[in-house]
Amino acid sequence: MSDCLANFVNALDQDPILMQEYSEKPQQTSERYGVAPEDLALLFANDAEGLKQRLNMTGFKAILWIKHCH
Amino acid sequence: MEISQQGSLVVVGTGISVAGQMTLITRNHIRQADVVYAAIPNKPGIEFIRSLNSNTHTLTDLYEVGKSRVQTYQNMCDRIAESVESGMKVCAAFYGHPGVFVTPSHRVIDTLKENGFSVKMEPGISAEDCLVADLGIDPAEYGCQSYEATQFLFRRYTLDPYMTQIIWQIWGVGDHLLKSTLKHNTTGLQLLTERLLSHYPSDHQVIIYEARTSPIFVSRMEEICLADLPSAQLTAISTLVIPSLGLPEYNLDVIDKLQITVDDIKNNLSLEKQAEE
Repeated sequence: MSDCLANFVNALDQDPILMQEYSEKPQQTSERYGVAPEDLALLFANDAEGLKQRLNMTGFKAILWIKHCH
Repeated sequence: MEISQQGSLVVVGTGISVAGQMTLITRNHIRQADVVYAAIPNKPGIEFIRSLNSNTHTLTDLYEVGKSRVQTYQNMCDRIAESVESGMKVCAAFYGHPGVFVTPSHRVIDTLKENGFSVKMEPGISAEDCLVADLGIDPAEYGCQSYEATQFLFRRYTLDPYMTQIIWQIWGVGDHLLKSTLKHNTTGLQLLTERLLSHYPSDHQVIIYEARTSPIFVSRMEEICLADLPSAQLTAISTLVIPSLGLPEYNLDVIDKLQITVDDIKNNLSLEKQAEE
């Protein structure tokens, strides 16, 4: 099943007008994308680390890539 | 080398941000591939690629804590090459720019090219591109030197403090084992700081930079004194930016040979002067 929060984050990343709308009406905009209540709570709690955990964007594994050239 | 085989590979970069920095040509390569292999460090990014091509497989399972990255990179190359050799049109997607600080992309291209397959790389937005935009640094203004931190520490590079310095992957500086580990190397960071202090004053402001990966986050742009670098809180994506000490002296011999003066150069850069003329 598709991850609504991940899809919403992708949509925000591609559309500055949507991002503007989200900054003005965060709840309505998020709900329109089907973001679940527990994820809404994360978004509005200003919990960057929590969000990164939820989206697998933190920790070494999530970074995935320590690129090497030596 | 003549192209004699059926399978093909295009290597693309998806940018640093989850989806919004992907070029149009990259999107089309992903859509049109028979199979996509993706090295993307977050869920939204992978989901977006899957929305473009349902036959997307991640390369993340090849990472293991304690496993040498050299081995991981080879495993990635092998997985990609196997599909190309079976005759498939393969797209390998790496975050950022696929040719910057990426070992397997170049390696698999070289190997397949030698064996007569069609290969290509498309550029992507790199962390350095984000750094230029976020910090307002123009690499052309003072010139720019860029290093991987451990390579800088291990080898006798000549640093020019009049140029902007970008030192990548400072969190793991001094790690020669190339193993996937969560341990921050404090000794390496201390040694790096000592080396930099031979070029800059201890109160020189440096920047710890981390590019944001989505507009719901903010980039880290933390200024600290160089002397405080050993105690800085770092993560695996931290980059050290050292602003220039300024422009060096003019090379008067060269300017004289060109039969111009320093004032000629400065006046040409002055808007007021140009307005007067």
